[in-house]
Amino acid sequence: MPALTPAVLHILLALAGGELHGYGILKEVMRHTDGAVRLGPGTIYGTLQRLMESGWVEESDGPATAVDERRRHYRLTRSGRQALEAEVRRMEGLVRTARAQRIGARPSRG
Amino acid sequence: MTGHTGRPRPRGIGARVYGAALFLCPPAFRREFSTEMTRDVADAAEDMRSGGGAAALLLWIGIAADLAATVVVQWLRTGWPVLAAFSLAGAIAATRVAANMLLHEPLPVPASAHDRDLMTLLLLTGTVLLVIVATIVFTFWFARPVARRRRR
Repeated sequence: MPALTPAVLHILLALAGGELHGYGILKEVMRHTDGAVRLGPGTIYGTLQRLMESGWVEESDGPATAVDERRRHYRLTRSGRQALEAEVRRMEGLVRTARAQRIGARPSRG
Repeated sequence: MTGHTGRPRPRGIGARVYGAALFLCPPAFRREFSTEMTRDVADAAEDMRSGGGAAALLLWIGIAADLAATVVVQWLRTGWPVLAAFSLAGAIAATRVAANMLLHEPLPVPASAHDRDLMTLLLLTGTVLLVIVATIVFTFWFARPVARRRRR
């Protein structure tokens, strides 16, 4: 499977925590990147469209606690979660390789 | 995380302009997501209000850039630019062949200025007709996978 694009990865990661609407995804991505990544609405919905076509994300009724029922909520499907897990494993492998080359390793004290 | 109240927020002029600009997107994408996108932009603008002028400016620059990229990407996904390019290329190639034939196989009688005008008119009409035919053919070609998906 080819590497996921940054937008796909961020959106899948945001939805891994539970179902969200589009603006919720935007805020969740900003939260887990400390504000470094701000996806625009076009990027979010364009990516969601592709993810729904590939069966990785589906529309949901929204959580029971949803304050605005008119919003459309989205959640990960099983295959979406599997794709995310595969990508995280791929990235872990990359990080291990980088660490073995002493790239990005924390300097040891003493 | 929902991050907003259930009450609909009044939309500012920026969100309204954004909603209007979404008409640049392909109709299918617009029908599917424009309401949500406009609402998200209105919410983002409202949330950014306390951030000051510079933050708001950055937000709108980001939104404008995102919209421009979305328009291009979504139109490319429809296949229409490829369709137009193929149709145009096909029509130009056919016209070129026709023009070459006319140049190398002269008419039995010497062509007058009036005849040349008529030939130019015929070539132009032929080009337009070829573009229309090519567009129809390629539209059916591109519509096949969509129709197949809908039948499933």
